Amino acid sequence: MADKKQSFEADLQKLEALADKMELGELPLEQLMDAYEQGAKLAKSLDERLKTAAARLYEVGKQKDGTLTVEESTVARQESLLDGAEE
Amino acid sequence: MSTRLTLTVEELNEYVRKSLAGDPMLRNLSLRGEISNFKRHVSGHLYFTLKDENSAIQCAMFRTAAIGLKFRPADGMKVVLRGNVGLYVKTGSYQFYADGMEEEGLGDIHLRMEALKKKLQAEGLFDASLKKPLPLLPMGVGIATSKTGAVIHDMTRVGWRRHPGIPFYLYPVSVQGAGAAKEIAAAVEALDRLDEVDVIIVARGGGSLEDLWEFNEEVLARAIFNCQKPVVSAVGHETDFSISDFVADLRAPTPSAAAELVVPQREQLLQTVEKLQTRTRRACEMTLAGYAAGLSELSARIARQTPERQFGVIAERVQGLSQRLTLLYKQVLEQKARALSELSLRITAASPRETLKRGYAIVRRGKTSVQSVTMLKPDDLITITLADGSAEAKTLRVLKEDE
Repeated sequence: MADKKQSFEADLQKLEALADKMELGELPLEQLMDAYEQGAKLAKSLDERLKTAAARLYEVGKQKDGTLTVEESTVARQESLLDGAEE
Repeated sequence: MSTRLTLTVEELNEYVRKSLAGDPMLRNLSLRGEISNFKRHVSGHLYFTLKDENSAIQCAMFRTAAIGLKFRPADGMKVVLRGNVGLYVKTGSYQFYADGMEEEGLGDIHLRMEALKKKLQAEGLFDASLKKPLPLLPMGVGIATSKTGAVIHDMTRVGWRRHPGIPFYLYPVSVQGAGAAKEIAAAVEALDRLDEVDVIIVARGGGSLEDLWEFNEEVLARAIFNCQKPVVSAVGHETDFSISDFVADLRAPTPSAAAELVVPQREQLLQTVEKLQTRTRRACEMTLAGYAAGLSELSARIARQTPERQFGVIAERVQGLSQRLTLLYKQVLEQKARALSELSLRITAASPRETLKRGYAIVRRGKTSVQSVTMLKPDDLITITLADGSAEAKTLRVLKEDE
């Protein structure tokens, strides 16, 4: 899962680097078209990742053996969601 | 019969205020204690609690008096106030109105915090070079704070307003009282192990220096320092600083501000992505436009170089040449013609007919022209040609000159 986060940031940087490189105007036409396609793919995947995360509040606990438990929280989620939705 | 006096609240408060004001013991006195809950109102008035081990009193210092202070009062400072005791009728609270304040030395709590701060700083726990950057888009935000109270609500509300799709992972802890620091440290350690989380916030709402004390404990400082994931410390209000603030990767002035710092604005990120894509598209368009311009220039250059064009040039040259040639030809021709006619004149002049016209005659015997009398003998038939005709004749005698 850590890769997912890494790749958002890394992909955004990749996209930026592509734009920088393309703007130099020194790429041969074919490489330019390849770069554009690559950029479009990156942009699409970044876009999707921004739009698919889920708003949830979880409560983390620890069992006696140190194992972590994650449960959807009952604390405030509804209220917070309502508040969030209003704004 | 017992009579019971019934007062309004205001009447009571006003009565007590007057009795306090009338007590000479409560006027112009000096009061020693430690500042706590210090607040500077926008109006410039100072509000705080003055306390010692077992007791506390609300204090106010109005702007006109506060202006003359030579130091900045802060929580934990030991001070001596001068002023009067009074009652704030509106709330019925009894307070001390300070006209003057002198610093008596830093409070114990403050000194302890400073000592620990120096120690940890010397160990490098605050090194800026060790601060971890926050993820641009967290996949999960771990929060170590109280399950009760407004803090968790405020944080999720602010966070989801910025990005409605960010999950929060609350590790409930007590945020004050003995042992809280250990609990929060364990929460940080646990959230550090949780794969779904990539950034952690330690949060607590505002409170007195004592309330926030647990965030100054070494055990929490070390847990934050050892955490592999970036940690944001958001303890109390803007004016409150704790050890956890210094050791954390980022200090947020309040828990809500922490949520704001950790959760990116989704719209902004979407725009960033869109802008970048637009840049790549523009770059393509620019380059293609460049190619097109180059092409049209090339094609213009090629047009200038086409065979037709070259033929044109050649044709022009040819035309010029041929014109010159024609001219030359004509001149030559005329010259020749002139020469020819001259020649023909001369030839005409040299022709035998002209000679004959002058009275000469051509004599032939058969087909042979006779150039000497030796070629003739008497009775030879000869033809005598004159300019305008000929005559047949017979030789009578041959006379040779000088013989």
